[in-house]
Amino acid sequence: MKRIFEFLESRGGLSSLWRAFADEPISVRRAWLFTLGAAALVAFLVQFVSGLALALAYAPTPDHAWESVKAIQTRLPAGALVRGLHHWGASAMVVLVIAHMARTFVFGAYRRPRELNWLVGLALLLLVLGFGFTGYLLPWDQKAYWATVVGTRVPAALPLVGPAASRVMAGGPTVGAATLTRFYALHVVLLPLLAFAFIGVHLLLLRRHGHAGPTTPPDPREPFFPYQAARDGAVGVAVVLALFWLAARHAAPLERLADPTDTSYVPRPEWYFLPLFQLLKFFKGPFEPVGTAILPGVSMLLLALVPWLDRGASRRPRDRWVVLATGGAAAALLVGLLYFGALDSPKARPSGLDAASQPPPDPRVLGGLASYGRRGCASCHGADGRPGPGAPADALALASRAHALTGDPLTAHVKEKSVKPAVAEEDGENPNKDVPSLLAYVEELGKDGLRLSGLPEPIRVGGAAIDREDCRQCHQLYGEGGRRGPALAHLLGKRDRAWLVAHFKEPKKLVPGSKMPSFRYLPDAELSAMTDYLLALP
Amino acid sequence: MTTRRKFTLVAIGTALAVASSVGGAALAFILGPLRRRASHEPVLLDLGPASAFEALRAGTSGPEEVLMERTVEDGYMTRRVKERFAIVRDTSAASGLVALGTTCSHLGCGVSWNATRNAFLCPCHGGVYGPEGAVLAGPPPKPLTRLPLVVSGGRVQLDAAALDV
Repeated sequence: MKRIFEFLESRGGLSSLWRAFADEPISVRRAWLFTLGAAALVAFLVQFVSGLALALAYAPTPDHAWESVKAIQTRLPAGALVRGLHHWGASAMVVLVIAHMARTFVFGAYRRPRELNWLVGLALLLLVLGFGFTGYLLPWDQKAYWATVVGTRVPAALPLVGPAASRVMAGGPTVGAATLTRFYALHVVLLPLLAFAFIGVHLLLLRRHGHAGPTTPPDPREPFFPYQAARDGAVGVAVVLALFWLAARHAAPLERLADPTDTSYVPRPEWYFLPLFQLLKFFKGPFEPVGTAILPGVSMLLLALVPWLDRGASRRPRDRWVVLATGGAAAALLVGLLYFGALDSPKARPSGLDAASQPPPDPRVLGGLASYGRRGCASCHGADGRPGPGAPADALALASRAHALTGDPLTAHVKEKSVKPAVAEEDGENPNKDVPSLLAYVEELGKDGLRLSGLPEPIRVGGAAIDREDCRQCHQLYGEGGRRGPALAHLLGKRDRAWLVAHFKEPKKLVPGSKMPSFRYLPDAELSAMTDYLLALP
Repeated sequence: MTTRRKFTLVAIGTALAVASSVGGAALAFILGPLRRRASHEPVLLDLGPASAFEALRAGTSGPEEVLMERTVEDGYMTRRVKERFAIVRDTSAASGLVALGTTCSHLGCGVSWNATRNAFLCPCHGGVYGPEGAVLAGPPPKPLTRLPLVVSGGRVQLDAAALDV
């Protein structure tokens, strides 16, 4: 062991490096306030490790991104924990970096000769925000999609370069596959490299100019190791414990799959962009760039120039009250914008993780499933199109195979072999009205492995009733059907269950002038199931 | 005679040339999306029979939202995407109708029709548009995009090529 150390010392100067690192004199007064930078560094390392793990299971394409994040969250071992750490770690980064910066500001620690390190710190703040912005697109859920639509269009209002910048950012005219790969590359390659480089420079400059210390003498010092190292370590452990607690107690959210046509969705960014989002409400028409570029740009510039604007000899807060008051006012403004932005945001979002929020199958398929049962098809072909042990020897499996019979011969087979459903023939109703739906179901069975048995009962019953009552005669559903009534989509958030049930019974009472017939004659259970189905539609 | 200064200048020059050639190639790749694709031939999306829009044309019913599915070039892939339009009355058009894009001209959120306020509302920054798509209030700099509709053979159709600009 000793020989290994001797080897490392003689070839790499290990112990002299360690000596220089450990013996650095650090201020004793206000020592706990000087741990914020270390806390931010610890949070960054948590992000690095958890991010590396997530990257192993994530697919940056619109077809698979959401699915892969969902698998991480629900199926992969420790996936929810790792994603939770990364999710809460992102917020922790923002909080800790801003706290560290506020401490530096109040202490005037940016004063000569530390101006350059203040600028490096500012660059790190921008990198953290860049990580946030590129990172929360990646799950490709509603929040991700809409925040990015707004975010990539923010530069578009700038004169001359605006539209081009917006286009390069999104990788095309709209947010899509190219945006996802671009943001992914930034998030996992470029930004981490820059972050490590800037953190390295930040620490080197810190050591080069030494610790600024408290604002007024006396300034007694101790070696960094073990005194400040112990405080940094304690705060670092607290940060990690807090992140584990948050990750375990509050799962990282995953909203529904991105849907550009969802009218009920109210787009809002992550909390740390909410002040900017709120600011954009105040600038109209040609003044839009004031909110999107001028105010944020000027604030960043002023922040960068702080070391040159505040140059006196004393770092005592009393002697710098103008600077501190300005900074305080700016911070209050930011918090105010955050507060009003939060007031104007929806409190709860439909999660993309519960089974009920998956888009239900087409009503025709569910109608077909119902008539498959009613006509006794299962007695030969089996439930789900897989013939059971008692089935006749010549019974065909319908699942996962191309069909020997299609079109008219199949219709003839159905009419000949199956039990006709009981209908009131005196009303002139066609007893074989359900056959097209049945054929649609059988065709779906032919595609691989359709299993509807796991579907919640109300969705199955409701979908079948919607098919039987032929709602599509007047309403669009999954882009198909008549246009006499409004399209049946995105009802969740627009209508509640009680309204829909009452409307089925008495349409004219709730929508004056409505041409929709009353469905009072249907049993309450069925009306309720139809409502379930409608609310589940994306 | 070669001096250290001369060598330094040549070395810096060479390094810059090498860096800018590699960087230039990468930059051209990154700026690729700036090249606009040549305009498409007209792609007509069918919105349904003209009779379905009678009430709208007569002014007895409000704007009607329709969902259309179309194929777009999206980066490295071709995707089916859904787009939402509001069909509104437009007495100046031959068809008596016009389709409004439902993307807010401010920052791209989706606007939707609110019958109570008789306006299209944007859920993001409070933009308000009138029944014909004109800006009534809020930050939007431009009215909603208007896409002409054609009626042919009793069917209402929308030219989707206009969407690609």
